[in-house]
Amino acid sequence: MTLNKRYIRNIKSNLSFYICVILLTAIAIIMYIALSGAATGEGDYLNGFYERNNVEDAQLVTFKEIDADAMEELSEKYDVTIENQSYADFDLDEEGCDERVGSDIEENYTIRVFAPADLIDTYELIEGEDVKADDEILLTPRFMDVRKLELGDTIDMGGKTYRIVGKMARPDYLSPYKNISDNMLVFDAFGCGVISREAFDRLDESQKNSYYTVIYGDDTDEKAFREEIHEKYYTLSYLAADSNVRIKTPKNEMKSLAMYTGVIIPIIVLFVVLLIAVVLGRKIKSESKQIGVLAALGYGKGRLAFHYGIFGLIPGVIGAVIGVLVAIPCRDAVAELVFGNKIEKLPVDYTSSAGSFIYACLTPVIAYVLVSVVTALRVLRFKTVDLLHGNGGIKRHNHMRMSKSNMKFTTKFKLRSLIGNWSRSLVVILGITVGGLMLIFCYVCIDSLENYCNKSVNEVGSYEYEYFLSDIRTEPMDDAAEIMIGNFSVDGCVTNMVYMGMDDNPYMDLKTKDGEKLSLTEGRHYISAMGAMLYDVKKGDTLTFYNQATMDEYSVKIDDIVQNDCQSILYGSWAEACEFMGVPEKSYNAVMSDRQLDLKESEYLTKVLKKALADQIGEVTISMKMLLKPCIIFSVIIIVISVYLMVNMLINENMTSISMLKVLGYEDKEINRIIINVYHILVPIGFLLSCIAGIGVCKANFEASVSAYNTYIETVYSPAGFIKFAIILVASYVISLLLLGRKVKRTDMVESLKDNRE
Amino acid sequence: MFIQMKNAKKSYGKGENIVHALDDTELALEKGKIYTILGPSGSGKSTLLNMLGGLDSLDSGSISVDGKEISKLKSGELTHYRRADVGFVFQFYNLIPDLTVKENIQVVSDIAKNPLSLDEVMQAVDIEKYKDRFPNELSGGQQQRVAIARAIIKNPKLLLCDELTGALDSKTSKSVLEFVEKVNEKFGTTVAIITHNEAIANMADGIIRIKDGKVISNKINEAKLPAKNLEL
Repeated sequence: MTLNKRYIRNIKSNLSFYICVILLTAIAIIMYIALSGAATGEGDYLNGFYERNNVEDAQLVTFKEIDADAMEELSEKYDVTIENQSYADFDLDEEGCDERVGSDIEENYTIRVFAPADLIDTYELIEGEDVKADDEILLTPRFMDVRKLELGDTIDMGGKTYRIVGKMARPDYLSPYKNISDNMLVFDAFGCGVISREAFDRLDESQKNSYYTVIYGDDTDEKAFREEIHEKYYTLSYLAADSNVRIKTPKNEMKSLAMYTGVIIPIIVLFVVLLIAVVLGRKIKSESKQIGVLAALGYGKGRLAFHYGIFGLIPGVIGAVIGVLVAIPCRDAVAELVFGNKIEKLPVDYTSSAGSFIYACLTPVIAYVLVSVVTALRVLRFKTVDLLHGNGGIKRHNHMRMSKSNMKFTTKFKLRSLIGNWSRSLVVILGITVGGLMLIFCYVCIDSLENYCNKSVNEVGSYEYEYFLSDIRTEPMDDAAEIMIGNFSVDGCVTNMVYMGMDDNPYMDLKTKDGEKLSLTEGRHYISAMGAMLYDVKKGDTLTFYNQATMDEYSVKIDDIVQNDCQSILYGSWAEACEFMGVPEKSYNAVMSDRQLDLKESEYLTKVLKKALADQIGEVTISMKMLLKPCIIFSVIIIVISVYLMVNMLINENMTSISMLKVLGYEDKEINRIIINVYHILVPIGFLLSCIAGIGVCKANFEASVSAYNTYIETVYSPAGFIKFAIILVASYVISLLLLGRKVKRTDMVESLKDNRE
Repeated sequence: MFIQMKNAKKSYGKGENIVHALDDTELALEKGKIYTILGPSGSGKSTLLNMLGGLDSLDSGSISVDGKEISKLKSGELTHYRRADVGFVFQFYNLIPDLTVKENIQVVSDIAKNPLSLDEVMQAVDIEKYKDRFPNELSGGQQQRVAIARAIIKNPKLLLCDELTGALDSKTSKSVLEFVEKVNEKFGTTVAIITHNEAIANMADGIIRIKDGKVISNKINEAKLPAKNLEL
């Protein structure tokens, strides 16, 4: 049909507009498909992985050994699966590893070696071959990648050389935190391995750590089971999978990503698509005269609605196709970006559900077609004669007559342009806000993370070395502050509460939120700010918690809140800590010092170096920034394109007025002053709205993630991010004005006036 | 002569599709008179008007208006020429939709060096009672009167009217032409009216006929009629 020739010609004459619409559509689809594909693929794989490899429900350490017969008896009595597991830590160093693996890789690292489990937390071979010989080892993939280890390479541990024959993953170490209290993953400093049972048995017994893993059955009476265990074997520690950061992190990560891909991203996509649809609709409205001509020629409403529907269909379909084609190969990269610093590398096939494809592709197509068709039909409600005279299609709201006002007519004109045509102003503001919100969110995230990392190093204390001892001691230790630390549970919260009992500790300069020094005398209790948030308590409230091992319950009054957003700690006196832990007075299981203590490796479970902690925190900040960088790039592209579309709309809709003023002898700067400059005010409004929304979303995100990340990140922001956003926004606006201003200059004054028959 | 056009050439298109809108056109107009420019479609009338109004530039030749060589003016100078010396009235009014009647006229008076009194002009074209209305609240004839008021408020030396009655019925057309005549008499403005309508030529002091980009006749109208006596 001859009329169809208009499609290509119209698009060609408005090429930059359609390119922007297509690009923005494609970006929205890429964001949605790539993220939802990553989330669906990872989620499906993890669910299957946990099921195949029998992830534990809990793990516990007992004072007395539970022998095989007792385990069998307990299994039958309580419908539980229980298994004894062991591991051995090998602290290694690769001096001068800079040349081989790069300068940012730790020289010192730990490999935690397991014997193959039979029932619970079994490992899964991901690549290569299983261990057969005593000198063979399987390692976790991300550790191998970061330390540039290949299958076939050898590694020396405990005086023996092992050949790496494969890569494996365990369900209880999918987020391989070295210590359960860690909140940072450092893949280059910690990895897991599996060697054959025979090889493991031959390891030095003093190196081994034993614990029991449990899977509860449907009929298990968990309380009774735990009570019997404690009664008979004396539970030293109990850790539920829900509180185990190594297991809960991947699960929480999936939950939070599911929230993003299921709610936030679809809303952003919808927002972007609606914005484009509105702009498209306004463009079709501006063709009212053309629609009138076609109606006069005998084209029916249905035919014209179809014709203009195609104008919406073309950018929708092209944008959707480009978006899908780019998004599919991007899913792996996006998944690596999202999970790379939190979850072990798994052979996931990142596929998107048919539903997400349908949503991503059909939303823009339907929205654009619908808005185009509805707009054309609304225009056709006017009389054809009116349309031919250019008086239809655009409904004028003349409610801002201001005839009594003494304002200059230019001021009245500006007010009418802004407020009288409020829908256009709103579209411009929202257009700026879409990308701005994302950009500010990213910058505020970065600022908050940096602040968190800087603060967290100070908030943990001023010590240089912290040792978590392998047994409970009572004799005083020189040059060290003794602490009694225990893990407790609070009903309704999966995050463990740490009770830290101590007397005067020179390495912990703790202060309340009001800046008062803590007085850790008996009967006084202070909770960290993060703990207060997690357990929903405030000054004066009573907090009830129970010992995870003995199940004994305690209630204490919270005397004040301590400024610590990084850990959930209840601070109390040393005596009370010992009482709650059921150990003699003056017992301790951790020490802090400003120097390295003369302790054998077997005497402590973990040694934390403040400097190493600071380095690790720094690395985590860098990796977080890496994650946010692509988001920043996406946001900037969205801002630039949205602003261009908005300016395009503003100039096109004012084209005839601009031309008329030129004919009347107005200079360009005078025209800008009257017609264009008035819209400048929308830019700061959009800027402010973006900033407020971006900060708000970031704050809500951190608050919602307290449990998932085991930490509360305070929302802070520096001027730098806002300045960058302002520069990007203003530059996009000015460049768009200059580019599109040239279009106005090129437009023949008389030709453009021919279309103006108001 | 108030307006002198010499060897004016203007072409559009390229190669086989080239159209010579003005082809060695010669024209001379006296000050304070009314001229009608007649010719079939595509004869070059509108191009001629655009050149006189400084909306477009010649390929070659020259145009002088009141001694000023406008064909040599740069873009900025042409803007000043339009601002100070020329008033336009178009077939489809071209009023600014977001401005009221009064404000549409103020748009010009604000930048004119010696504008006429706003009230006087509105009175002259009888639009005072509509001054607070928006263009879409007026009839075609009323809108065209506003366009005339907007064109003359700056007291231009030259009033260019492009098919100013083309969209109006005969009664309204006559009324609009009476206003143009009144403006010419009252302010001594030179008026050039482009039209298809031969009857309008009767109110002019000079009748110019144009064909294929050339002025084929430029005659004084010996039998000039007042606009009210025109038979449209």
